[in-house]
Amino acid sequence: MNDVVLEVNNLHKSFGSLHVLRGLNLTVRRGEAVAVIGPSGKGKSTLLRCINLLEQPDEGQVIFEGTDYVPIARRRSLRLRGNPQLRQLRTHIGIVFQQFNLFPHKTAVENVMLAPMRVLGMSKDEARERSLEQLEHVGLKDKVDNHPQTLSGGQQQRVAIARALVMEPRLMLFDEITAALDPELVGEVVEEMQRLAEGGMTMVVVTHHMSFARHSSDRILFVDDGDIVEEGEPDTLFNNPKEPRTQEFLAHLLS
Amino acid sequence: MLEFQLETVVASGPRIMTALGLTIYIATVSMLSGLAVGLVVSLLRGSGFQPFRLLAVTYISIFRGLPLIAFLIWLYFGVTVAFNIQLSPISAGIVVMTIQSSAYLAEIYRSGMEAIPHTQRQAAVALGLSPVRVFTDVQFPQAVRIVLPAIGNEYIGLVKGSALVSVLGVAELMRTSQQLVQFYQLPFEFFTTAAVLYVAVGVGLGRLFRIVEKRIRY
Repeated sequence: MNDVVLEVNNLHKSFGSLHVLRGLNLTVRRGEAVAVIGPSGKGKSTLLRCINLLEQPDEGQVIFEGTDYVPIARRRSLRLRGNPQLRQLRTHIGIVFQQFNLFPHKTAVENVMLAPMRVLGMSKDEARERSLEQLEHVGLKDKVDNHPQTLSGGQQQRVAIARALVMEPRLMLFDEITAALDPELVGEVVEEMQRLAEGGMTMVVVTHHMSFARHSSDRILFVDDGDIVEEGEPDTLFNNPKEPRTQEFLAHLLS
Repeated sequence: MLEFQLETVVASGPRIMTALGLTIYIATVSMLSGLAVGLVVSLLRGSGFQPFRLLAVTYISIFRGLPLIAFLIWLYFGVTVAFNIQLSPISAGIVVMTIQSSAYLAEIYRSGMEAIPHTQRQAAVALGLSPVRVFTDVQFPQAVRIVLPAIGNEYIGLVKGSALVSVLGVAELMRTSQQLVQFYQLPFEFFTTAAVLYVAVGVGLGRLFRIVEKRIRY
């Protein structure tokens, strides 16, 4: 199928004796917003980090737009320029982390400008212009020259979103991006994800924010013990979960 | 106590200042080249290639453990003779202090790099940056801020360490002071002057580094 952006087949990943991913399969189509929910420490983040090959899967395929990147990532090189195909992949896949991971020595706009200049080879002026646009989209027009430490968690996370979006990614990964935020700052960040989902961005969202999963995603995956236990449309999964483990997880959330 | 012969010291001012200049020159050249060599050693130590790592670790262990004066004398009176190398005393001093400071600085760089959370590297890699760019644009600028105080200490250490180069007959501050003491027979005056000047340079460098640290704070 032409509109399949990402296909993950039989993905396995262990850290030492801990078998985190156990043969997980996943297909994401263009324009789809997939929410991944489930208990903590059961492989959700590792799944995301395998998709852009920040982690090297032990087994399986990660096919992005028709190319399996797992064998490509296995080729290790001493070259200072890194693995060109992997770098290419990462320009197409944006990721936002739980802890923002902004560069503290750079201002908001410099954080966003870095990759357009250093990876896409844009001129400084062009990179700055596009970065300012992105920061305006996320409502931070008046904070562009602030360093991350002078921004709230919600603002930092929005800079991180702008930093990923400026590369015009074809797939966005969100790794529990509201988990480190004070409760009153969650809303502004979730709004950005909703805006993207409505705009047709293809995205995989690991989240504990059930309202986002329920109202803004096209499909929900319930992941536990390194595999997808159950998946379905939001209403079906929330109202009529089939698997006992899903039922238990959702019941726990509501109590 | 005898009267402090300030006039004699002042009269020798130009000679003392020239000697002080040479002291600062030796320390500064050693510092700058030590920064460069230390960076190379540090990169080798952190490389994925085992023989490079081993080489760097060996280099650091040897030159960190060797007393400066033993190294100086070994190089200037031993190696040059054995291998028939022409080396001026000043060059010998600079070579020895460069090597020794690079061994320390390699470790200082490493501590700086290790102090940066690995998530910084991850975020940069996820954006598609090459390993070189990750280093130059993300890790290095942060590491510099972390290691600057330690580098300042190392610089001051080199100014003090350069006094040992006097054993090779280099007319830096220590050697010159000894010569003036012998000539005028005023040990207290000239050694006090030298001590005050060493401390003053140390204080000055300390100030300078604090200003730079404040400048680049974020």
